[in-house]
Amino acid sequence: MRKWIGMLAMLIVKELRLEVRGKELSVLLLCTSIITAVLVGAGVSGAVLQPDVVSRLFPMLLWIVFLLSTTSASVRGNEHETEGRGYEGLLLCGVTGAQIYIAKVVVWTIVFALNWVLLCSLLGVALNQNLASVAGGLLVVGLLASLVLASLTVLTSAIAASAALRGAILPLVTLPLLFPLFFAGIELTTAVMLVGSIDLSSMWVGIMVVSFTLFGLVGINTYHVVISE
Amino acid sequence: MKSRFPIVIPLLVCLLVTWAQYMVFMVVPNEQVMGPVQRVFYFHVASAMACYAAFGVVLFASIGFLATRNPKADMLSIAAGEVGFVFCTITLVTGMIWGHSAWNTWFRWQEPRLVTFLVLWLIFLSFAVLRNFGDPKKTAVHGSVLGILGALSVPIVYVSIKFLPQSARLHPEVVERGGLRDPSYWQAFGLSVFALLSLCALLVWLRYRMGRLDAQVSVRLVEGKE
Repeated sequence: MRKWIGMLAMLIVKELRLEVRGKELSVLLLCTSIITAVLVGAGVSGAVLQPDVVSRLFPMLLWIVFLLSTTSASVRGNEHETEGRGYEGLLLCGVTGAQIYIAKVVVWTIVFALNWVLLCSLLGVALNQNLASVAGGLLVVGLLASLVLASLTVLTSAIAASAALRGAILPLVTLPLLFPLFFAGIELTTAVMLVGSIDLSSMWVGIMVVSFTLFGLVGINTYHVVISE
Repeated sequence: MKSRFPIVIPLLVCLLVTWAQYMVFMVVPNEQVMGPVQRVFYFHVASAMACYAAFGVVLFASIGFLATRNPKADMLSIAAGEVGFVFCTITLVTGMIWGHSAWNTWFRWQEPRLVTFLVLWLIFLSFAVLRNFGDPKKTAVHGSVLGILGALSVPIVYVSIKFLPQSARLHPEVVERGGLRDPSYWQAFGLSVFALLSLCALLVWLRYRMGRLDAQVSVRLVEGKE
């Protein structure tokens, strides 16, 4: 067990180093998030909406931008390993698919959570929302959402990685499965913006936990067959 | 290659579907509130049941393929996925026709069953796109994983939409609330369900056979070249 955890820790460090060195996922996320946030801000401003309407729309807009940017950016997430046959090498060394999957989920969760913080700040400024007082609650929502999102996109991006139309296949495969997260996220964000904190006993948190458990279980059990040559 | 598929089965299914059509359009009286549009119900509910059955087959065939790597299980999963997509489309379209007449809108986002079916349709669509445009060497494995993920996600989608705040839940619960009081309604409904489930099974079986024949032809072509 100790050896298994040691190997997992090494894989997490490897994934982090790859991301720090290549910065592909982070840069793609950053660019897509900035572009979509600016477009949403310009669109809402052009529609000349009342401030209270913008406040009510804010959680939905935030979640659309967050899901779209993370899903489209994760296309590049498996390309290094697929092109360089990195997975084959890892599996030959005795690393299990479950370990690779968990390591990726951990690193992607961190990257997605950072993107959530960036998006909240960007959209908050663009749509003139004061989020400073609810920052703690929003951070918890973002962390939970990033976990669910990473547990699914690590698997689906590996499925789409070797396809010719991967740019189209990845959102098409991922977004329908994210509907529960989308609804839960909007409801939790709205509640946090109204109350100021997150209610961890809420059924929406339960839906996020169930989604994470389901995606995680499928991912841990099937990732090795998805990535093996 | 001799066909061992008895021609009497497709004929029987055609007869069943025609009989169901006759019952729905000629025998069943007009419903008092909705009028003739209510007849959509017989195709709508029966198609939804056929779609759920096809999705169940996709789930078990996908698990079977990943466990055994038997290509027959993969072919069954492809067949059920494609046929399920057709029935899911029929359910969505007939539901929208009925909804436009009853609610004066084509689609209501607050309604759990409507949104669940839209999501199910999207999952089937992604399944079909992945099967046709995915990496040819890995399509079977990837399609199976997506089949399992999709099938297991549907209940969560349904539950999550049910929790959404809504002023009124509008989808009728005819069977659950003991509707269809006239005996001819029940006969037409039962017959429609049986006919469309049989049609679904027949189409899955035919598509499965097509897949197997296609694989056999491919093997013969390779052997011929060698």
